[in-house]
Parts: sequence; structure tokens; C-alpha cells
Amino acid sequence: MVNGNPIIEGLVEAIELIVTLNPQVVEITIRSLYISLTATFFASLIALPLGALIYFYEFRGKRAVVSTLQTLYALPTVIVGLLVFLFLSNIGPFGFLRLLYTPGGMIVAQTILIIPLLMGLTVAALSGIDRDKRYTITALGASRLQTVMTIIAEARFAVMAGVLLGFGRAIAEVGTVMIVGGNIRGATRVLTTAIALNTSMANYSLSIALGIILLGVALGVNIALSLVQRR
Amino acid sequence: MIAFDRVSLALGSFSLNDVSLTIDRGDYYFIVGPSGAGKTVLLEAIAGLHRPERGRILLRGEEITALPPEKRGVALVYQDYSLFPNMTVADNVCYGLRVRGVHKGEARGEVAGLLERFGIDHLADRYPGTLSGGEQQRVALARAVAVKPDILLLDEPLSALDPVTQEKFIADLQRLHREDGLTIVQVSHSRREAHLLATRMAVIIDGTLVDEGRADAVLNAPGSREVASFIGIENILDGTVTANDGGHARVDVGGRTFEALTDAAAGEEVTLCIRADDVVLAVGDGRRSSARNTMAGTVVSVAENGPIAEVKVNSGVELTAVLTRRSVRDLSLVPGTPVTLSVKATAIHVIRSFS
Repeated sequence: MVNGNPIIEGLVEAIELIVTLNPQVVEITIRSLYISLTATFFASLIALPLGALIYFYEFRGKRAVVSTLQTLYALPTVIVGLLVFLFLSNIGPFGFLRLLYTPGGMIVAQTILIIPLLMGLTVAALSGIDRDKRYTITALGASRLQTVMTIIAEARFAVMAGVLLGFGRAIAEVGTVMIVGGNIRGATRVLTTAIALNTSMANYSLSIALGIILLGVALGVNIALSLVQRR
Repeated sequence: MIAFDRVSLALGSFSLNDVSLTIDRGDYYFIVGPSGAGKTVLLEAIAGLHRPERGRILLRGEEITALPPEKRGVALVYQDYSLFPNMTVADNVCYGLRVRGVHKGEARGEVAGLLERFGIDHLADRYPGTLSGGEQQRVALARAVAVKPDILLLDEPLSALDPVTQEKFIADLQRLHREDGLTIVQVSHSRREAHLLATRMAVIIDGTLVDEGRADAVLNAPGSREVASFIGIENILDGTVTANDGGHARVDVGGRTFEALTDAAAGEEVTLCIRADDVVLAVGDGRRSSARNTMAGTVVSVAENGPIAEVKVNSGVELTAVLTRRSVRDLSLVPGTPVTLSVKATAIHVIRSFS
């Protein structure tokens, strides 16, 4: 790294770190996937039924709710991080849970971050089932519950695409996990926070290795998304 | 069987106003009207998908205004088929049976029978996205018939099909109506479809039912100028009755006198409706004829369309005649050709201004 181009050398070393399954790289990658997949799972459990509820029930202010959700797609991650930090810290109402600077706290933060996105995308996915189809289902004799279940089943690939996008946003964000997790080595360090730290420490090879893995995850999500959307 | 009693409902800026109609068991009932007139809303109101704000809907004499769609015994087929893309053809056809709790084995037998009957048994395991428009339409129809509806509701089922497939599908619908004795309500804006299929029909314009009755009566003797115009009567002429001798009236239309059968009294404003195929053209002096309206004119234009041709003739008023292309050639009709035009008094439908 001293004699040649630091980027090229970093890249070569990075590939070596990945190929040799460097323990630090593997540990950070597994933690990242665990936190973001768990957050996506919990966010889906909450957001998909809520999204369906918003779509199926007519109420005053429905449009405003959907617009607010769409606005929250771009919610700054550091804001979510700050709010979750305040709630989970000793001075906050949930301080007793002792989740600050733990993977659990990071899961909570990412869950909160992607819930609006998943809710909004669920509403959009269900809205993709046209009115005629809804009416046809009802007129064929389906009860309200059967109609709801059929529409959700029909929109399942669009809903899955929304979940994948949510996972993509969770694993790629750095603000919330940095604030809530604290980037503690061996405990809360994930791909994005590790890249930020190692880059600032001029440890390019590890940063590039982790960056390649993060890109690989993003690529994997994208491929999965294409496969789902092709259905 | 099903009756609308002064039904009104509003959907956004659109409203259905004071609609009353009766559809009897076994009717092939057409709802026709221009785009945006409210035909589909009316069809959906029959299905129970929109609840009227005023008026009543009766089924076999019992009020069902508030009855939900799943309890009305109807099935609805939209023009885009609305098939489930993630279900096979067999699962699509089975859907209505499944949600109605029909036993799996029984449903499977029913579906197999329907697939064979509609000639789509070889497509059972295919997905709708891989089917042609005609095949998709058959699947949609089989799915609707599977639930054995009292009333089958069809929303412009032929509009997305090519002409050859349309012909086949019309035959399917005729068979379904004849053999199953099914009551069918179809939304359309095609006069030809109404001619071929309808036993009764209603014309709806701007959310208001403007004509209703036996299909041949509505098509041949429309009740108003706007209905005549919508159902495609080629010659609609406004005039004034100048004399009436026991129902044999003389009507002045822009200086030309037409004879027609009506009770309209002298001085009354009327509208004459003449089908283009009731206008006969002759070259030379064809004035000695049983037709009461014979007049000289000049060909204005000849528009050929397949085996037929539409010939416009100016005889003081402009009239359109429909001839075979062969007749046009035999008579050597070109713009400027002098012709004698005749229309029987009995071929003229008179709309009185107060009707």
C-alpha cells in the first residue's frame, strides 16, 4: 500500500480479505444481515397489515395519511437515529430496556426507519389491483374477508418488491445505526459504520472489501426485485 | 325479475338520475349509450356494488337495495376480463366456487365440465398472461357461469376482441342465452351487437334513461331525437306536419314534402327517422312507384366500405342511402349522377315533439 496506488492495492487486499473469509469481514457482514433482515421482518409484520388497513378502509384524511407516508420515505436517517437514541437512553422512557448500543436497539431504529416505506409501498401495491378486479371478486360471491385476502394474494409480488426495497434501505443506511449502535467493534459494528470508520482511518482495504460486500447485497436485492417484478 | 324503481345515485361528479327499468327472467337485456353515460355504473348497481341514494331495487318482487353483492346471485364480467394473473385457468374458473364453499371434488368436476364446454380444457394449466384475448374472454365467461348466476352481467365483452373472435363470441353468448335460459344484462355501445343479441334494451345518456323497451322497438322506433342519433339512424330530419288525413301525414322538411304515418296534427313539429337501407335509388325516371316519397336528386358522395357503399344524395335535403357495391357499379353512381330517390311512407318513423 505504501509503494503503489493505495486504491488499487486496497482493492487487491480487499478481494483477498473476502476470498480468505477474513473473520472481521465475515462477522461484520453477518451482523449487518442479521440486524437489517430482523428489522425488515418486524417492520413487515407491522407495516403490511397497517398498509392493507389504510388501503381497504375509507376514512377521513386517508389521502393526507398516504401523502405523509410518502414524505417519510425520505426521512433523514440521523433524525430517526436521534429520536430512537433519546427514547432508548437513560433519560428516555424506554431506557430501562437497555437497548442503546446493542444490536437490538439498532433493529428497533431500522424497523422504525422503514415502516413508513413499507406501509406506503403496501398501499401502492394493493392500489395496483384495479377496481374492476375488486368488483369482479365481490360479484363472484367473495365475502369482505375473502375479497381482502384475494387482493393481497394478487398483489403479493408487488408487496414483496416493497419489502425488498425496505431491506435495501435498512442495510444501506448509516445514520441510525451509527447513533443508536455506537459502532462498537465486535458488538454493533455493521457494514456501513465499519466503512465510514475505516475510511476515516485510511484503512482502505477493509473499507473497499466491506463496500464490495455491501454492493453485492444491493445487487442481490436488485436481482431479487427484478425476478419478483417479472411475475 | 329485477326492477329499478326511480333509482338515483351519485359517484363523484357523475350521477344516475331517477332510473326505472324492469329486466325479466330470460331477457337478454342491453344497456346502450355513449361513453361516460353511466352504463357501467348501472350494471354495477345491479350487482350491488353501488348503493342508491334514492329509489329501490327489487329482485323477484323483494327489495334488495341494501343486499350485498355476494348475496344477489349475479356474476360480472368486465371488458378487460379481470382474470387473476397468478392463478391458472382452472383456478380462475374455480374461484367463485371456492369462495362459495363448494366441496373441492365437486368444484373440480364442475370446472372440468365448464372448461370443456367453453373449449378451453387444453388451457387448464396455463396462466392468463399466456392466452389470447378471445381465450381470456372465454375463461372470464366460464368463471362467471361457474357460480350459476341468476343474472349474468357483461360490461362491453366484445369491445377488446378482433372481428373474427367477436363473431365466435357472439355465437357463444347466443348459445348461453338460448340453452341455459340465462338472464343476461350487457353493456354495449354497438347497435350491431344489440341487433344480434338483445331481446330488450335501455338507452342511457348523461345518467338518465331516455328509452327502454323491446330491442326491435327501440332500434327501429326510437322515442327521441337523441336516441335516434345514438342508435345510428342515418337520416334524421326535422319538419312540420302540413296536413294529416287519417294518420297519413304530409311533413314539410326544408321545402320538401315527405309522406309518413303518424297521428301528429297539422302544425306539429316532428322528427323523421329514415334508415339508410330504406332509401332506394334509381337512375332515370323512377317516379312511378308504390313508394310515397319519390324525388329527384344528385349524388353528392359515394363511400365504399367492404361489400356495401354509403351514397349521399341531395334532393333539397341530404339523405343517405346504403347500397351494395355491386349496385353502385351497375347504376354507375358517382358524384353528380342524377338519381331518383324513394322511401316508403311506412319506412319513416315519426318522433312527435312531445314524446
